Amino acid sequence: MSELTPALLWLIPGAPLIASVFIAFFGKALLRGRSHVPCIAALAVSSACAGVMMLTFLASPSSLKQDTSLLSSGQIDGLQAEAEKHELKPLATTPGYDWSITDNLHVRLDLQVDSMTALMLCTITFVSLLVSIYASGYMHGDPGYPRFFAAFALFVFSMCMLVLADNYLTMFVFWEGVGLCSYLLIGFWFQKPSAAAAARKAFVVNRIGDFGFILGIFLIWKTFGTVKFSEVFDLVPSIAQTNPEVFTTICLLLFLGAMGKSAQFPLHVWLPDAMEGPTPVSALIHAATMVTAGVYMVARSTPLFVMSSTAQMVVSGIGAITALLAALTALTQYDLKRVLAYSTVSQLGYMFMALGAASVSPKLATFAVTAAMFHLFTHAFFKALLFLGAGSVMHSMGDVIDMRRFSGLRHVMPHTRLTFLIGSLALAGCPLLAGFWSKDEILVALFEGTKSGGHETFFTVILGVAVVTAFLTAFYSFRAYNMTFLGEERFPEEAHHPHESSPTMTLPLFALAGFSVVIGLFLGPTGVYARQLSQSTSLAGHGEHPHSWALMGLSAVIFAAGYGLARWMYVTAPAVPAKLESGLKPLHHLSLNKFFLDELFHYLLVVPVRVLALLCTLFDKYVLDGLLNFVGSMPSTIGRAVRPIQNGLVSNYAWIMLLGVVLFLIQMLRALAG
Amino acid sequence: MQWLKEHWLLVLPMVLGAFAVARLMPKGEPRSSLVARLVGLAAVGIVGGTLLQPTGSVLSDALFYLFAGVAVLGAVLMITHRNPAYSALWFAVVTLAVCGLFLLQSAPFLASATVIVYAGAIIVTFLFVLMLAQQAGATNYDQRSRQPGVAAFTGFVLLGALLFVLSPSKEQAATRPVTGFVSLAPKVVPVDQSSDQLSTTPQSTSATTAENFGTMRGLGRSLFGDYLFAVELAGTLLLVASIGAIVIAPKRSSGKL
Amino acid sequence: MIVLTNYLIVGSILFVLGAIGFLARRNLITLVLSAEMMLHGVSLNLVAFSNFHQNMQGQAFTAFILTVAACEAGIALALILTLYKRSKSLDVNLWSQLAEADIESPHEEEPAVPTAQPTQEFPHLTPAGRSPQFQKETANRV
Repeated sequence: MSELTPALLWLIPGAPLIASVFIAFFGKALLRGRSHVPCIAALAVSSACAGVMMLTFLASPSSLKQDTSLLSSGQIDGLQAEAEKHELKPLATTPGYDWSITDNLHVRLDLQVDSMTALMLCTITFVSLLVSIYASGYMHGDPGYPRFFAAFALFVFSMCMLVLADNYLTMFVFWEGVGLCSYLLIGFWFQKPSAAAAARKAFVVNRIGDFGFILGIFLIWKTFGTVKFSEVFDLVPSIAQTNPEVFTTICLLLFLGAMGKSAQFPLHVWLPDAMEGPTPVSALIHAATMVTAGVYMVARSTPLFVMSSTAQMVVSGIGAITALLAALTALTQYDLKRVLAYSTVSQLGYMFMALGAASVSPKLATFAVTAAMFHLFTHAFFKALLFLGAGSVMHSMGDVIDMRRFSGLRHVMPHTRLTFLIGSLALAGCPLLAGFWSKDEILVALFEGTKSGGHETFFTVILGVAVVTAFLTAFYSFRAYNMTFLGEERFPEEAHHPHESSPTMTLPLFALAGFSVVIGLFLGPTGVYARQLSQSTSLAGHGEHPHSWALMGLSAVIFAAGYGLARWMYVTAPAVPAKLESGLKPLHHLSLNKFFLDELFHYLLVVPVRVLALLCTLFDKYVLDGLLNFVGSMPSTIGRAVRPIQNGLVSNYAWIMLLGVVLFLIQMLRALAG
Repeated sequence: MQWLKEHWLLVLPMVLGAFAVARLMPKGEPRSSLVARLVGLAAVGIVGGTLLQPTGSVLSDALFYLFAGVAVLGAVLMITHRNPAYSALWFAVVTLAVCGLFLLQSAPFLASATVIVYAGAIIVTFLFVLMLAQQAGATNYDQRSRQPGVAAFTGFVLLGALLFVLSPSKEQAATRPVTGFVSLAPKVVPVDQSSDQLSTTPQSTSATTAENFGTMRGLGRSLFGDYLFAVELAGTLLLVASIGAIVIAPKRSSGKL
Repeated sequence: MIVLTNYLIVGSILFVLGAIGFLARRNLITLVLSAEMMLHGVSLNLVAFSNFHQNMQGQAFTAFILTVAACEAGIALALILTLYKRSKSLDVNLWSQLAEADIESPHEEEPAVPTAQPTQEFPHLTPAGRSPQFQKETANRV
C-alpha cells in the first residue's frame, strides 16, 4: 500500500488534468458527443484513489496522528531526518517541482495529505463524479459540450491541487485556478450578455478578495520567512512572543480572500449572479466545492487564527451577517436557483460563524473547526443534490426556473420530487438527516462560546442569529419545495412535454440523496469525522467534543416550526403570502431586491470609478494624446512645408541648384572680404 | 545701407536688368513692352560704361564693344523670343559674336572651329529638330514662361555677385594682397609681357611657349602633346554620343514623320 | 593692352542669361539652346585666361568644351525627339513624374494665348526615300 500511495496521490489531480487536456485538444474533432467519457473516467479514477487513500488513513493507527504526513519537504539538509520519519509515515515521498521565486523564497510544488485534505479530496472527487454523470445528461446536445467537460475537469484538477497544496503560495496559484474555471463555466453561454456580465462580476469581485489573500501571504512570508504550512505553524509560538499583533493583520487579510471566494458579505454579490452558468456548474462549483475553499483555507490556517481573537470575532460576525442577510433574501426570491444560491451563501456564513468560535478557547478550537468542516462536508452533498434537482426541474420546464410559473410537479417528476424533498429536509435540519447533525454541531460550538472566553455577549448574539437563520432556512427551503412540487399542476408554455429526467440525471440524484440521509448519522454523532479531522496538521489534536441534547431538541423544534409555517403558508392557506406581502411591503421589497446591495455597490463603487475612468480617458485623449500627436505631427508638418519643392519640374530643381550656388558664392565672398 | 550707397552703380544695372529680362519674357501677351527694352538697354549701357575698361587701342576697343554688345543683346533676344526658331537664329548671332571675341583673344582656330561646329552643325540640327517636333502655330509653352521674375532675380543676384568680384574697386586693390581669385579684379596685363613668373601660372611645357601662342601650331602641340590622352577620350566620347543618339532617337514607324 | 576683366564680364553675363533662359523657358529646345549659351560664357572665360597667361591650356580646354557641347547637343536632341513622340509636345512641364504623389501637378491647362500674328507656318520635311503621296483634296487643288 505504501508503495502505491504516491502514484495514487498524483493520480488524484493528474487524471482530471489529463482528461481536461485531452478533451480540450481532441474534444471538438474526435469526441464531440462523447466528450463526457474521459472526464467521467478520470473522475472515477480520482475518486477511487481518494477513497483508497481515505481507507489508509482510517486504517492507520492513531499513534501516527502527530506525524505530519507530509509527502516531502524541500530542505536538503533535513533529508536525513526526513528519511527517518518517512518510515513511520503511511505515505511515501514524492519529489515535487521546485519553483524558487527568489533566493530566499523557495517554494516546492509538493503534495501534502493530511486528514483534512483527505476528507476534502473525497468530497470533491465524489461529488464531482456524480455531477459529471448528471451533466452528461443535462448538457446533452449543447454546442459547447466538449468545452464544458474540459473546463469541468480542469476545475476538479485545480480544486484537488488547492487542497493538496503544502504551502500558501501553491494554494494561491490553484485558488486562482479554480477562480479561472469558475469564470469560464459561469460564462459558458458567453453569447448571453447576462452570463458574460455575471462571469465578469464574479471574476472582479473575487479579485478584491484575492488581493487580500496575496497580501496576507506576503505578510506571512515577511513574518515567518516561509510560506509552507508546517513550517509556519511551527513558528507560531515564537512569533507570538515577539510580535503578537501581526496575527490579526495576517488573519484579516487571509479572511478577505476567504470572503471573496466563499461569498461572504459584502463580497457575496457575485454568487447569486453566478447562477447564469449551467446548473451542474452551480451545483459543483458554486455550492459544493469551490465556494468552500475559503472555509477550508481558514480552517487550514487555524493555528494562525487562534492567535487573534479579534480576527476570529470578525470572522464570526461577518459569517452571522452573511447568514442572516442571505436567508432573509432567500425568503422572497422566485427563481429556484437564486433561492438555492442565497441558501448557499447563508450556509457558508454558518460555517464561518463556527470557525470564529474557535477563538473562545484552544480546546474548543478543534471542535469548532470540526463543526465547520463537517457542515462543509454534509452541505456539499445536499446542496449539490438540491441544485441538481433544480436543474432537473429546469430541464423539464424548458429552462424556466421562475417558481411562480409552475407548481405541482410531484406527479410529473416523482424521482426529482423525492430527492429534492430529501435535500430540503437535510438543508432545513430535519432530525437524523445530514444537515441536522452538522448544524447542531455548529450551534453547540457557538453555545460553548457563550459560556466561556471573554466575549459571551458577542457569541450570544451570534447564537441568536444562528437560531433565527436555522428557522429561516427551514422556512425558505420548504417554501421552494412547496411552490415547486405541491399545489395544483401548472406548466409554463415553454415546457412542451413535461417529463421526468433521464436516468443519467436521476441516478446521481438518488446517490446524493442517499448520502444526504446517511453520512450525517454515520459520521457525525459517532465522532468518526471528528476523530479523523483532528489528525490534521492544522488542528491542535483531539479536543473536547461536547454534546447538548437541549440544543438538539431546539433545532428539531426550529425545523418543525419552519416546516410547519411553510406548509401552512404555501399549501394550506395559499392566500397568506400575498396578504403578508402587501402588509409588509417595505420589508418584502427590501428582501426581494436583495437589500439593494447591488445598487449600493453600483453607486458607491462603480460610479465613482467610472467617473475617475472617464476623467482619465479625457486626460489621456486630449492632454496626452494631444501632446503626442503634436510631437508626432511636427515631422509631417515640416515635411509638408518643404514637399512642394519636390514637384518634379526639372526647371525647379535647376533653380534650387542655382540658388544654392548663389548663396554659396555670396557667403564665400563675405568670408573672403572678412 | 552703407554698402548699397557705395555700390549703387553695380546694384542699379542689376535691378534694371532683372526687371527688363523678367518683363521681356513671354507671358501670354502678344507683345513685350517697350519700356522693358529701354530699361534693358540702359542696364547694358550702365554696365558697359562703368565696368568695362578701355584698353586705349581704338580698333580693338571698337571691335570688343561691338562683339560684346551683339553677344549680350543677342543673348537677351534669344532667351526671350517667342519663336524657338528665331531663338536658334539669335543663338547663331551670339555664337558669331563670341567667335569675334575669340579672335580678339588670339584664338583664331577656336573661332573658326566654333563657327563650324555651332553655326554649321549644332544650330542646323536644332532647326531640323524644331521642324520635326514643332507643332503648327505658336504653342502655349512658347507663349508663357515659367516664373520669369524668380528666375531673373536669382540670375541677376548671381551676376551681381560675379560682377562685384570683377568690378575695379580701388581701395580693395590698395589694401589687399594680390592673391588668388579676388586679385584678378583690376589687373591690366600687357600682351607682350611674359607672365611665366607669376605664381598663379600653371606649369606649361615647352610646346606652349609665348612664341607659339595663338597659332595653330601652338594649339596643335598642346592638344596632341600635353592633352593627347584627353583628345583620345574626347574622340571616344563623340563616338559614344553619336551611337547613343542613334539608339535614343525614335524609330520611324511610317513614312510620315 | 588687353583687359582681362572685360572678357570675364561678358562671359559671366552670357552665362547668367543662359541660366535665366534655362530656368524660365518651357520649350525643351530653347532650354538646350540656353545651356549651350552658358557653355559659350565659360568658353569665353577660358579663352580670356589663356590669353592672359599666354599659354594654350585655356584654348585646349575650350576645344574640349566644343566637343562636349556637340555630344550634348546630339544626345539632347535625340532625347527631345523621343519625348516629343510620347507627348506630342515640347513642354518641359509635362515631365514631372518625379513629383511627390500628392502634390498637384504644376501643369495646369491654360487658356490658349491669342496670337496677334496669324499662325506661323513651319517648313515640313518630306520623308526621304519615298515619293510623296498626296491626299485626294490636295491633288484636286493641285
